[in-house]
Amino acid sequence: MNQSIIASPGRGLRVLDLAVTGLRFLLIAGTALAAPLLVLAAFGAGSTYVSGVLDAPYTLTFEDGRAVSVAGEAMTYENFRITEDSHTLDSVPTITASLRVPDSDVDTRVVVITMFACWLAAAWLGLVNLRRLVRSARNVRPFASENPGRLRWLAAAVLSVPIVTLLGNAIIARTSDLDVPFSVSVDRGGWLIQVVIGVGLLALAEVFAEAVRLREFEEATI
Amino acid sequence: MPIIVSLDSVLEERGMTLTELSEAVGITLANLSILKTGKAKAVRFSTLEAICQVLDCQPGDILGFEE
Repeated sequence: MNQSIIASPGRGLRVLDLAVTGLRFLLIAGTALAAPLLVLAAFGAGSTYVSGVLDAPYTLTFEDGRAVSVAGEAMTYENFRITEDSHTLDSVPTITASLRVPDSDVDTRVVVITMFACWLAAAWLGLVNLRRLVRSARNVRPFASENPGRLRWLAAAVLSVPIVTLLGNAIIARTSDLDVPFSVSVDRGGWLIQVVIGVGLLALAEVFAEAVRLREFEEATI
Repeated sequence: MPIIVSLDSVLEERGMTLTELSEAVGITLANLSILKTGKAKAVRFSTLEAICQVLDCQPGDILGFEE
């Protein structure tokens, strides 16, 4: 292919390259902050937190003597003056809390630290491959033979996040020593969109693999 | 590959080098080498036409099929 007649890469790629560079600096800064904290937490210093959802049945008692009792989907108001104009809760509230993992609960602490370390590693894996992908496109080689592999690694990085979260939360639910009626987990919402994006990236990798095959065929066509 | 390229023998018969052929048909020497060594995956009709015109031959003189 005569590269001298190909226009320079479009503005979109230049902007994307800048954005990826910005992400890289953000991740470097984030890693510089997070890594020492993770190491400290691994040695028992600092605090580790998990999210908790209060399990029913429970009763919320207020200082004025009023109380709300929740059992399953049913709610009971005690000492409330409920009239026709009263506005009460339409549905059972979800009570969440940020709970500090006790120093003695080593298992849970290890799992939480491992989860954060895995997420950080996934972010780096994704970013390194994304940067190489964008750079190859900027060097007029969008269908370089390495790019389908880079997309697959990017997909793996994205898909690993909900998998690590699911596994980690399943382990924490068993290992947690907290003697309070909370369902504990490390909160990482939006798992469905992560799976959709990960699978989308895998599909894109196969499209790129086909494009590489076509490019190689075209280059060997005289 | 089942398609056999016999460009060498035709060039020898015509007393022409690969470089002279590439200059005559306007295809780079590198691409003609790919064709000659059987590494090409496809040949355009326009390329075949140009080669056959210069070498005064038929496509069958330079391309063969062998299972």
